[in-house]
Amino acid sequence: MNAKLVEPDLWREISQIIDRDFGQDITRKISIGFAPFEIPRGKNIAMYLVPMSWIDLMDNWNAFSIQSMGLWLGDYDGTDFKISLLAAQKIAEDTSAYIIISSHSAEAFTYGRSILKESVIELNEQLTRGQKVIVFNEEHECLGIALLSIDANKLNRLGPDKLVAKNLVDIGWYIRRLG
Amino acid sequence: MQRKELRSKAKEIAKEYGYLPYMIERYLSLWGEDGTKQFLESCEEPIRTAIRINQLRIEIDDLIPRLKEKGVHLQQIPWLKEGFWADFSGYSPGALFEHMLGYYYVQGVPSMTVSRVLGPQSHETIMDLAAAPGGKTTHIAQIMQNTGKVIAIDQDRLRITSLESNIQRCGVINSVVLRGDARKIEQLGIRPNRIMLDAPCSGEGLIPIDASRKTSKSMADIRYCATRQEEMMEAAISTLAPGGILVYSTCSIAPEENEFVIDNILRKHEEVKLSKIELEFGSQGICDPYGVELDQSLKLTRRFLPHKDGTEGFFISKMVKEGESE
Repeated sequence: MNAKLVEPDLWREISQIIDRDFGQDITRKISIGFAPFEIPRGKNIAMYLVPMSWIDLMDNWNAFSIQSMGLWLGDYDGTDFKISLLAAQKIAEDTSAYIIISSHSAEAFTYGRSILKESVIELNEQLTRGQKVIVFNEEHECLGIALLSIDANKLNRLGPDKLVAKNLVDIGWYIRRLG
Repeated sequence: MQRKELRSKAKEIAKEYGYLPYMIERYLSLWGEDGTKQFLESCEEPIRTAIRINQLRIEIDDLIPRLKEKGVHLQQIPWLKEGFWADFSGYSPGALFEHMLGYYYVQGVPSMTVSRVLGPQSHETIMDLAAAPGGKTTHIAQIMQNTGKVIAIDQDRLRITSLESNIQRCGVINSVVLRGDARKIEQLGIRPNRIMLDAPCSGEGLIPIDASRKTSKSMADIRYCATRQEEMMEAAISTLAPGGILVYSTCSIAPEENEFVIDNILRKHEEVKLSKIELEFGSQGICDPYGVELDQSLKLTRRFLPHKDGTEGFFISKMVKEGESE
């Protein structure tokens, strides 16, 4: 079988990365009742959260290759963990690491564009450069994930066309990846 | 109509509409000349776009006004509360923000009907064979409100990419996607409560969407599909839990891929019976295609036809495997 339970040490490491990015205890909150599974994917490892009751079912699945299961948490490349859009939507309810952008720029963001100062409606002042943030539109719908290019408390010093956050992944990816 | 006359008429009509003559011969046998011409004319018309609102992401009543505000005209599909014909007023249905957010899935009316016919219940185990690109998998998960598990199987690596993308977009978290040959599902050691077998087929119902199908498949292709369909159905029946439900469907109008396949299965498996489909749509299956008397319970199956229903051609059947539920 190509899927296996994540080793405790690796799971601890991934939990620390997610908690560092999105807040203390976030990983525990979203994984209650689930077991972490990994599936190798090229150079990366794809991580999934799977209901505990599914674990025993998989013993006889050798004739098939498991492609995905349960909630796709994200991909680990050996140093960083890239959280999936679906997991970001789960985390969105509990994190203060977010940015709200205007309706006009929301559309551009879903086409892969990054976030400029003029687009920002709300950003927590405590957040710092290099921080990953969940991106919301004004209706508080999760559009993706971005990486802050500035310390949030310096936002007001920027000109309207200055970069605030780089697009890491957005919901347009669902469509773009299919060509 | 005499055989010779039928062949001559078929050749003439085939030339006029750009089909292979063997196809028209079969249509003339099934529907007569008037019915055949109505079918052929309707295949020249585009199929109306339809969407399924994804209640895993949004309530139906919340999405309707949003889409209307964007100029999308919606019309309820009578037998599907989450299904709507949708006129996007020139926009691409896949380009709207609401689509990216997974609020709706662009899906043919027959394809969304088939998941409702399966009738998955919360906390059940469901298998979806030939699952990509995921319209039915995501619909089943929606009906089950992300409880239980949907085991989605497909063999094609590229199509699985679409399946996974749609699973993510629609917010499905109760699925397992397996790549492999669905004819080997018995080896999984799972006895699902219900199985969806929307079988790979010759696509003879898709002519309104893909005009190349008028000439791209031979009778041998149809026979090849029928053999594979029967093998998949055998695997599904062996694997299904006693008391379980199997829905077999195709996007083909060919009796060879539908009624004949099921008739063979019913002859071989006394424990399998056709079951009434409670939803009101389409017309009943054919019990005597080309004058061959098949099992009379085939009238419990349903067909969508372009000239009668304004949809692509489609076949849906619901079977129960008798026995005590486990």
